[in-house]
Amino acid sequence: MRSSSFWLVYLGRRVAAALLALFGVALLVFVVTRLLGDPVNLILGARATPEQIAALRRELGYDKPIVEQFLTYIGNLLQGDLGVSRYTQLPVTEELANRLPATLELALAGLFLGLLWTVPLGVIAATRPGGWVDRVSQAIVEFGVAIPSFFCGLLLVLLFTYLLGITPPPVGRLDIGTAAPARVTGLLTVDSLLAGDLRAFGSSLKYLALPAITLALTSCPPILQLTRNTMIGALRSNYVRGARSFGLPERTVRWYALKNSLVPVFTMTAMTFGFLIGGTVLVETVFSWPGIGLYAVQSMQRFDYEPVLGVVLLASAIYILVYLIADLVSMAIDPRVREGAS
Amino acid sequence: MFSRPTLPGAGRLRAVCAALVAVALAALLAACGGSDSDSSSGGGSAGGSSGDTSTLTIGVAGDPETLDPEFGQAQRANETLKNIYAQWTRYETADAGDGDLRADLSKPPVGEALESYRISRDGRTVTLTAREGFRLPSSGQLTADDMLYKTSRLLGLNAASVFDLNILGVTRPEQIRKVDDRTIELSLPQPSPIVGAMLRDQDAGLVDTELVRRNATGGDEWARAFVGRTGAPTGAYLIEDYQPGNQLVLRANPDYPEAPFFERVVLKVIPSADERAQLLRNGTIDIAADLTSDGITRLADADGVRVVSVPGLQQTQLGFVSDKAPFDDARVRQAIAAAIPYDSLRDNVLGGESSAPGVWPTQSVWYDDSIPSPYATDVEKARSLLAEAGVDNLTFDVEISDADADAEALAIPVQTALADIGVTMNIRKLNAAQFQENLGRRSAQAWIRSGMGPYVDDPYYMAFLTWMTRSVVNWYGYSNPVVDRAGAELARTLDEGKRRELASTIQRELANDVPMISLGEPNFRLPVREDIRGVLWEPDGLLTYRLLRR
Amino acid sequence: MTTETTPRERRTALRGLPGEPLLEVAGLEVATAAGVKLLHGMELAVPAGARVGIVGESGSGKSMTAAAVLGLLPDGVRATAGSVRLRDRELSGLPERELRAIRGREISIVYQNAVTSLNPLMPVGEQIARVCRTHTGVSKEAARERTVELLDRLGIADARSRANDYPHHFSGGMAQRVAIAMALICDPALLIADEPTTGLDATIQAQVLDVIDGSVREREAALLLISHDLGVIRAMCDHVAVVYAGELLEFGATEEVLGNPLSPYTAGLVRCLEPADGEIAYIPGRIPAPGTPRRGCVFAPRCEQATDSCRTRQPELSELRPHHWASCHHQ
Repeated sequence: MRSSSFWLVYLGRRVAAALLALFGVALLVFVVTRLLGDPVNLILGARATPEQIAALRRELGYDKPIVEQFLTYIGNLLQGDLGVSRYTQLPVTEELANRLPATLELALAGLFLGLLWTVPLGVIAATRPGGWVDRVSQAIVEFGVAIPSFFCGLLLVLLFTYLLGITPPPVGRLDIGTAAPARVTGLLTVDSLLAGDLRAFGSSLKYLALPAITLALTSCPPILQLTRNTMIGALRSNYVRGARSFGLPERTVRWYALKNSLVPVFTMTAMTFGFLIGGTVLVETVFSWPGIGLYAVQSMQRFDYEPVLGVVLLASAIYILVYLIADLVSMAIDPRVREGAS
Repeated sequence: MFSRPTLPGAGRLRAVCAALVAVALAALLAACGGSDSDSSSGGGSAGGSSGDTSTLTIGVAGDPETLDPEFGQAQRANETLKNIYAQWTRYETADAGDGDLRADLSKPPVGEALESYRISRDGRTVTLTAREGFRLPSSGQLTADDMLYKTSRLLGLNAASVFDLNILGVTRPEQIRKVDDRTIELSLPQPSPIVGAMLRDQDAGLVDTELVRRNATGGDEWARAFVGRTGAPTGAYLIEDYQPGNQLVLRANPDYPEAPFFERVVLKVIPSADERAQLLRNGTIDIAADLTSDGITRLADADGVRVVSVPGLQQTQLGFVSDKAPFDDARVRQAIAAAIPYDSLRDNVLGGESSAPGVWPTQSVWYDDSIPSPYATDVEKARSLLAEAGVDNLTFDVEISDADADAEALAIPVQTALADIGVTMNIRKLNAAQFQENLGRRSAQAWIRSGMGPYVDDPYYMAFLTWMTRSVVNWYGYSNPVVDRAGAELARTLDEGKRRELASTIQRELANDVPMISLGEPNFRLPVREDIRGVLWEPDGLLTYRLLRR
Repeated sequence: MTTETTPRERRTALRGLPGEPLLEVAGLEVATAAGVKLLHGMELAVPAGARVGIVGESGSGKSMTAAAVLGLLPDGVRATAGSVRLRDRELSGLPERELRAIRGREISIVYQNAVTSLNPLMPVGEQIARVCRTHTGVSKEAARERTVELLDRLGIADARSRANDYPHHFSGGMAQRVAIAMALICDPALLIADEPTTGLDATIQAQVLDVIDGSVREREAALLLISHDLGVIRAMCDHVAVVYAGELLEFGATEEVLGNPLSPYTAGLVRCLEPADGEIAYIPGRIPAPGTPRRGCVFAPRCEQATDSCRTRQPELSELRPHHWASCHHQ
């Protein structure tokens, strides 16, 4: 439809904007973490001599002006080097690669369950605003929005693990006795299926269930609200009246309305996903879920800045990427957006 | 939602919806089916690892920061390192009652990887002989080269752990010499009384030489990156599986001379302390590590849980920075010491599980109980000391770390007690890094910190580490020529009676100078499932998995 | 709409028009859930092949009548009494499924501002073809052919490729042609055009009206044209219905009604909308808000000729002259 050069220019512009945003994020987080205190004493421990402290400070570049430290960081970043964790001595990129799949799996599962309940309920609620489906779903939304995610997680654990004994205790992603499947994607559910290991698959699903439900309940209600509201608007629109007056079947009419609601709903979904990548920290803590959020928090507690910066940059990059994808999908759905892009 | 898929768009949506629902249902069914057929590792109170007798599961707060013995600093790493690297020596154990053990500090350490360590008559030559049949995983029999490699690595990396050798006066590779295939010699500049004790530090653990060598690179001659993330274990346990942020699985080392009870030890990362306590209650884990005093106290009455409580060497200290006002006047420090309600702190904050505080850890074999303790509550005396010092309306800041829950719990009643004698103590809570930095710079006026105590119960170690003017952990700005002389003399004195006198001299000075107040000596406490026995207390407070049994 | 089951056998007062009766609305009452009446016994008749205009001020119930005919009343509004007959079939109270089969097939509608009444996310050709297939069950290809053919006949150049365009690609006049095509694709017996040219340029208006005129004629379909432009009504319609506040005040042949109005309201409307040179006319007061209690003639409060009897007694709609009905005491 459009020439390839149009798309190149469009993508180029978006990528440039994304890089600028990432630079801003890096600068902000860098300055904030550097203001929090010098990690050298903690790295070396109580028995370190002043000479050792000075030497490490030199080695890590903490004796340099902060501007220079930042420029060095950005320079390394441009070469794909996110630095080394001062605590574990491991490259941050490697640690992120290890932990991102856990967060991705949780976020995807949470979003999947979230969409499963929010979109259909939103659509049904919109067909009868004020009806019982609407009222019940509003109550769930209010519960999900009002309750902090970690508290919701704890409630679910209390109910399903300690009282009913249905789900396993919140100790990570697999039973203690179950070996992890060979790593392909890092998503245990997928890898265990690829390996044909049904036992590991069942185990990973059991462990995934509660944290994913927690996210579905606490992070996805805005999707329901938006689906409901845009759907109500769409059902009252002229084109729905038009479609009805030509005798089109009600399901076609609703499909017209749903399709027109999809663009904002999809954008909201993308935003929710982006939020989940960086925002599952509390849920990861409750469920001992070894993802990047927990990694960032633990690193922060240890004054290990490089992982914190790495996580923030990664989460921001994913957010921006997901947003870009959402825009591209919006274009695919809505010709007006497509043409507005130029 | 949509009744019949006659129209393409609606049909697509319906198909997608149906697929989603089908997948969700399948997932649920699979999950339920899984939990039925898999009850040994399933959830709920019946699940957990308790059913599996050969696996020990420990709930921990986080990962060990490193698997390299030369870089361990935090408690979690130190405990791991202690269990996966063979120590040269170890303490003998004594019965602590209830099936538990404590290190016998009254005897010199004995060899673990070593057959023996001998000290020459002049005390300046230490001969270390490898144990016959002690095998390293990659190369077999432990050799002199392996021991040399370890000491060279320690010196070569010059990390904080080089302290272990430096405190003996060993600072250069030339001081270490190979004698024969299984024997090396250390040349000390002066006799040292703590050779045996230093060789059992977890930092000093032997590494799997061949494995480390193979992974050395041009820019990393000691394979620091490799050892840090993968480890090169030689101890009672080897690493079976390590998923940072999730779990570390240890497997018993088949070559280790004594087979442990537990074939596997799983260190499961459970970041939430409440969750760890809950999982111990329901038997999912066998040991809940990294809990606060308060958290442990709350577990004391839980069904199926036993809280091991052994008097230790750790103090929670209120330290004064005594090289500047207002605490440069000993009378002010003494006054504060007399104002503090020690009994109440022990009963109300430390759960009753604490020894009476002393200027020297009272459980130390070197503690001299004939010296009157300055830590006796006497409010009148406190008032008169303040008056004598001419201090009126004393106000000062005490710093605590936000990661130190026990310090915070103790600071508040201390603040109240001091208010009674007209002293205002402001509590400044800092993040751990800032707190530690301030300690080193002695920029605070006073501070409260838990976990103050020696890993080695020896007066020279204590003096060298803490009480001498140039000690690295002298966060008090304390300087007393009598103590400095006694410390220097302890370094080269081997005679036990003489050493005891010197230790008492230091304690007498400390009791008089009060550079710090010990607010209590909390017991080493560990909540375990009631069927777990063989918990060994050692001065470093680190668990020995090898001796645990069910 | 409603599922009320009581049959309404009432016939309209507008009987005796030439031609076969197609649409008859009699005594139609429409009210909100709160009981506020929006149509008060509306009457209307459209003989087969006839062209009937509806005029009246905003809020007089023109569009509400059209919506009620299609059974597409807004949420919460329902018909409470009266009858809507299409040929011999009572539509009022018909199940939704049967009404759907009538909409777009026998009765079609073209709204004002067609762009917004088309689905913005679907090419127009597909939308039109979908209506065709819904009602006739012809093949996809046949529906598409008919669509392109119709678009072409309605004056859309390059119809085959334009059928792939989305609604927002069309100008107002062209979009209206698309909407007309959608309305006519199943050759309905009645086309309702609700202000079809409002908001369009004068030249475009004329073209669109031309299209409507031509295609209705070609199909021998009846036209119900809602407008407040008397010029359009005169040009397009042989009959006109003057409605006010949810009631029919006057009905008859266009020239007759507009030339010799029986109701003072019609006379006022003509004066306002087609003022003589130099005159600025208006009807004083305003249309009563829905729910205002009624007594006597609904127009009496604004009528210069109103008498006591006008204010107390409601006039009946009666055929005061041949084929010219009005409800007014003054004749």
